[in-house]
This record gives sequence, C-alpha cells and structure tokens, in this order.
Amino acid sequence: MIDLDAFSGKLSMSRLLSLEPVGIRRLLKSGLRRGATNDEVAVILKNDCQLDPESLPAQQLLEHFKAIGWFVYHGDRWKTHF
Amino acid sequence: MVKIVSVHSFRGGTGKSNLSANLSVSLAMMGKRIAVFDTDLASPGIHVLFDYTAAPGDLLINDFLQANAPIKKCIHDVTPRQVRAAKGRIWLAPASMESDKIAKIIREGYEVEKLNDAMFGLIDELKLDYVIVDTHPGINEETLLSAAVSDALVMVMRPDSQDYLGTAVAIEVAERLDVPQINLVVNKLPDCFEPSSVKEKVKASFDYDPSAILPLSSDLLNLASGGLAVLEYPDHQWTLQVKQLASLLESTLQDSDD
Repeated sequence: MIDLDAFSGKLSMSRLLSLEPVGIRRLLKSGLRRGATNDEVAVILKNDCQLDPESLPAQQLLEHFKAIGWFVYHGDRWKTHF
Repeated sequence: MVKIVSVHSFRGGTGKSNLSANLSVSLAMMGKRIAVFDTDLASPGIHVLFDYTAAPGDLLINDFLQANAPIKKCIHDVTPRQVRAAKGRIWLAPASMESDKIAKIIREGYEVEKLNDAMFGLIDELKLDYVIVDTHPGINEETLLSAAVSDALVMVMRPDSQDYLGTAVAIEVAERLDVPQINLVVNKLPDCFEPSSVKEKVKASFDYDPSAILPLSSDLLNLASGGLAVLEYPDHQWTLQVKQLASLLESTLQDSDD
C-alpha cells in the first residue's frame, strides 16, 4: 500500500531522488524527457509499483500526483513538473 | 534515436569540459550531429575549447533559462572545419561569462525542467544524434536532472582519493536514478601510475571497468584549452583513447535501441 500523504509539497530532483518506493521514482522519472504515454505509465504501475493500472489504488495515485502538480497529463503524455 | 550523454565529475579540475568537447568532436567526426550544452553555469568554459566568443547581442543558455529566449536562438554552430568535412555538425549552447549573469543564476537558480525542455526542443529541429551535457561538478538539482534524462553518464575522475570517494557518491545517485549506462573515465593519469593497477582499483572500488584511462599529457597542458586535442594531436594516446570512448558509446548506445 502506497502512502499518498508522503507525497506533498514541491517536487525537486533531490526530492525525487529520495522518494520511496522505487516504483514512484521510476514513475516520476518516466515523465522527464518527452514524457510517458499511458501505456508506459501502465507498465511502470504494474511492474514497479505492483499496482494493476486499472485498480482504484493506481487511479488514486495518479489523481493525487495530478492534484499536487507532480505528474500531469498533457496532450498525449504524462509529464513530471518541479 | 537521439542519445543524451552527460559528462560529469564529483569534483572540479578533472578535465570534464575538455573531455566533453573532444568526445563531441570525436562523435561528430563519425558524421554525427551533436548539440553540446554547457550547464556548468557557475563556472562555464567549454566555449573556449570551441573558440567561441559571444558577440554583442548573442543569446546564451542563461537567456533561455532565465529570460525565456527561444532555445534555437541560444545555440551556435561551432563546427570545426575538419568535422564539417566529415559531414558532422556541432552546435553549442554556451553559458554566459558575464559576472552579473553568473551571479544571477547562482542567486536565483532556474526551473530545472527547462533544461529538459531545451534539449528536447532542439532534438527534432536539428535532427540531432547526440546531446552532450557538460555538467557542473558535484551534486545539485541541475546535475540530478541531467543524469536522470541521460542515456549514458560519463563519470570523469582523477586517480585521487577524494575523487574515488566522490565518484562513489555520484555513482550511487546515478544508480538510484536508473541511469541506463555509466561509463567511468580516469583522466590525468600521471606517468608514475600503472594503468593496469588503476583499472583494478577502479573495478574494485565501483564494480565498473573504466571505459578509458587517459594520461596526464604535457601536450594537452601546452594546448591550454586553446584548441581541441583530437584535432590538434590526432595520433596522441589521449586522442586515441577518447576516440575509442566515442566508438564505445556509439556501439553500446545504439545497441540499447534494439
């Protein structure tokens, strides 16, 4: 179970580096460069976060990140914001 | 597909900018199209190696990061004649040498994701094969971002105890960020050091074989950043090893596309 309350405030690279579990770091890293497609995010959720991409916890995680502005869907890709 | 290579060192004085410039030229001599970003904004210098001096009105990477100038106007073609003959191209995003702009960037910083946007804003436009990032030594927000978006991190160190300790920290950070490839380069190896011993020590310290062990060279010292060693001394041992490093990056990074 991922504790969403652990993720709040402003994101920075040093913050990203310190995040646990590793799946969260990988998810946010995927939003760098050109960003991540829905399919790429689904693979990370499944393989690295051990979350079924369609499950409520996975959707709550993405909604939380959107709400705090860390991981936002733009056009056709998820982008990480600092 | 474009490859991003960050050249980094934990401490200053390792020859990181010199290696960045010469590695860029070596790749461009293979006909590659390269953009070089100077993100060592507090102590820029790679432009000197490319014999670039900002003319009045020239826009630099500081102007993109802090004043929203278009990134395309902040890069400058610095392709040497020999590289152009080899069908390669090099563009440089130089950092400002003006003290007020250096002070401003240190004082105010900038949004690191703009660095990401700068690179990817140019990749398609210039049909780049490589982005080479000459980073600021040590660990800060910008170097973390550079590492995180890199396909390969070239870590430069001298055979010095402080460098061994610092490099270990930088590698730990890179591994935590899942950097796909780490290449260790030992630079400025004095004559009195046996390369095979250094290779063993590096392997024992980091569990990576060094990708290159470059000699401390009086020829390079004499060049004093007044040119690019791979062009000035094409048969020098230092040059040959930098070319091998470029070939290694080209082969391993292209393999990673498969």
